[in-house]
Amino acid sequence: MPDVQTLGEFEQIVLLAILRLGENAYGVTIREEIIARTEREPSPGALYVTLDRLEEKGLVRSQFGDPTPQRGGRAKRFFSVSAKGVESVARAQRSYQRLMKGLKLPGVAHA
Amino acid sequence: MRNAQLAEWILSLVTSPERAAATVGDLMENASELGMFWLGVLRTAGSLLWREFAEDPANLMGLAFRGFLLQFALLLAFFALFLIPVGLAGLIAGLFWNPTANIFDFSVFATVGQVLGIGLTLLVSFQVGRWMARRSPGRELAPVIAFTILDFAISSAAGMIFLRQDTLSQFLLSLVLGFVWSALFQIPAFAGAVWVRTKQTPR
Repeated sequence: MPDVQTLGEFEQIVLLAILRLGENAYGVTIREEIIARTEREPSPGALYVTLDRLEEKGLVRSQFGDPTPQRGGRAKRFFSVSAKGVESVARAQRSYQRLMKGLKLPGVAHA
Repeated sequence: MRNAQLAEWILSLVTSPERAAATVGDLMENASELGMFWLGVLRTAGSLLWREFAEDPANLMGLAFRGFLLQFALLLAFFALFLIPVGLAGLIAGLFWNPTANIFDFSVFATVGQVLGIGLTLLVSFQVGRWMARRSPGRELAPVIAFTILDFAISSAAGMIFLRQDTLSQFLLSLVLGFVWSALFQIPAFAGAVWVRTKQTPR
């Protein structure tokens, strides 16, 4: 059995947002991406706690950029998804797809 | 910006200074109003603090229980050392009291006793906060959360046993007030934990 972490729903959303953003994934853009794609507005606290937890699990990595004057000389903390993180989110998504396959939800249009 | 420095200091109590600075930068970028900025800072600090507690609640509750026993023992010891002598002095003074001469003002003894009692309670709470924080390196503030929960649970249990609430609303009100009181009572302990945290090497 490979070392793949079980993910909660919000953890998957954060991982997918980071993957979508590529090299420009930091707190502000991750939150904006989540709002734009899911129409849910996570609190900053929930987002940073989740990012820290994902980093401790080894699913994301973070590094500090250069300080910028727009942020009062404060650096951005950029995030990237590790190979383990990619595998974990892919596995979770496959599970969802297997569960959904052949299932017709009443009132929901299927692609 | 003075506000941002204060926000950074608050967040550095629950995360590393580098992460605190980056988070404040994000919140400055995000928040268009000062109120939103501070709401973001406090919510983030609260979430990170709660996470520190939720990572290891059993050990932290154990530490809080030992802190509770230490607080009880210290208060008992201080009571014996300071308040009993003050009471005895008042008693002795009373023996020599002459109502016509009126040379003793007994309200002085009561005031001294009250000031000593409040001061010692605050000092003990502060020291217990420091004691717990030193035993929880890396998450110095989390034991105070555990302590607040324990204090609330004990005072609520005592309230349910000894105080009679006739209606559900009275019961709920007493729970809410009890929690607020428990949280306020932990301010000196929280200050003690902050004291230790600011003296520790950054994580």
